[in-house]
Amino acid sequence: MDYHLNFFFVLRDFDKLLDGLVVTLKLTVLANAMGLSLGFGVALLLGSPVRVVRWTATAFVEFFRCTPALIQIVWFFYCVPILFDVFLDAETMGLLALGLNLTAFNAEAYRAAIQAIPRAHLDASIALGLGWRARILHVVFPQALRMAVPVLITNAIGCFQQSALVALVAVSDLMYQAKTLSTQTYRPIETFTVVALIYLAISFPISQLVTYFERRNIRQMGG
Amino acid sequence: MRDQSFVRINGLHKSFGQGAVQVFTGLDLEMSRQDRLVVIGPSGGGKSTLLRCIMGLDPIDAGEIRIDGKPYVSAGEGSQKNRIDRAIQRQVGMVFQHYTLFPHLSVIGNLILAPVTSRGEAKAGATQRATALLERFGLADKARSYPAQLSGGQKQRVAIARALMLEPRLMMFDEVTSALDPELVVEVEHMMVELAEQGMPMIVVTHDMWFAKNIATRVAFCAGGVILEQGEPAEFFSNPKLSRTRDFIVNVLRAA
Repeated sequence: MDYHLNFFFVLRDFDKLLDGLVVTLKLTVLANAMGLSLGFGVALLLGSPVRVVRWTATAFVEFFRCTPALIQIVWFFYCVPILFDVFLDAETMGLLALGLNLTAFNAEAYRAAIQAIPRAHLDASIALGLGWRARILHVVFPQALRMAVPVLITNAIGCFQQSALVALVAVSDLMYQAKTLSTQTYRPIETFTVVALIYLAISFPISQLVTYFERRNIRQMGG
Repeated sequence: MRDQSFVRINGLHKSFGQGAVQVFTGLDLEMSRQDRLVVIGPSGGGKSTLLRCIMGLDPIDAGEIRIDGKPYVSAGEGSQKNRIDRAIQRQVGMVFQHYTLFPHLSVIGNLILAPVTSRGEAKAGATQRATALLERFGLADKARSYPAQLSGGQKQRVAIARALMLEPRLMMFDEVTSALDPELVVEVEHMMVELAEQGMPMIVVTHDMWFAKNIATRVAFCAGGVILEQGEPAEFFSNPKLSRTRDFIVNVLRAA
């Protein structure tokens, strides 16, 4: 094989990749904001004593967990506008798909964490006269968040990787810029190698946080 | 004069699993504001459930609990829901066997949570009260510690202090020393004695016969779904009327 690697073109247009990276990061951060907050709400609904509420929440979670993210994105981009006559810009539709997908996965993480909170804490909360709002806000949420953090971070990294799929619906993220660049330069190997390294460079340090939080949880959650 | 009706329980019925297991079959109990009532009895006899019913944690099937003559917990006709007077509930404090401190909050954080979020007390004021309380019980240096950094005895003392932050008119202790190593029992016991000396009305479920003999004003033997026998400690321990009570006392004292 006499293919000569040449990174010149890729590096010349590196600013385009950076523009794409900004879009990717924006999508990831906003999707995580959705996933971290809505996910907890959905987790509470999953444990609701009202059957209809519980079933609806379960249906939501299972839909997003059991279908490919790629189809969800395409569905939001092409089907939602036809079925519901709503179309926001491509970036927003992509964000909705990513955010709701993450919401479903995070809801499961929160649900498991909520179930791990000792029942006795509920008794103690009642004995202390805490209302339901104080109980959720000050007893359940902080503990569930701490216990779920390793999984939430893993999901966040997954969401960051998955955001590459929005390139398919013409959102100009990192992956989209990479595709354009590789077509223009006829240098797919170099382009996608560089882009892979960018994804790796951002994901790897964050993945190390998982180990840190797991250790911290083991240390602190006795009480 | 002893006013007999500070806490008054009438005809308490309670079962688990839709009547499968009968816990109380018409239990009556009365205590005055001067009383420190110790409840003893065989395990499974419903001692803890009694406290949980008084706290409003477990629903009752029939009967009623009054505090200060006012209806507090009542079974409610026909409907399954109990009626609980939340204002009275807030005046009852309870400490559990397994501490139940919130692990994500510091000692101070545990103490001020309920006053600040539920009573709307200012954070600064609550912190000041909490600090004074910790100082009084020799826990001042633990204010910024987290529960995981405390010994069992310290955790339990913090749990008691947390309940005291709400200035309860009745304190209930559910086997608070049972999970502790023997050498840690004393420090928790000490705190309860101090409260007793200050005249705090309390209901104590315990296997600690020293406390029952020396600190209690009344001892009640709870078995078979009712209070079988009760009396002042001296009389109760030296001259129990029922053979069942006598057997229990002999066994417990032998074990101790």
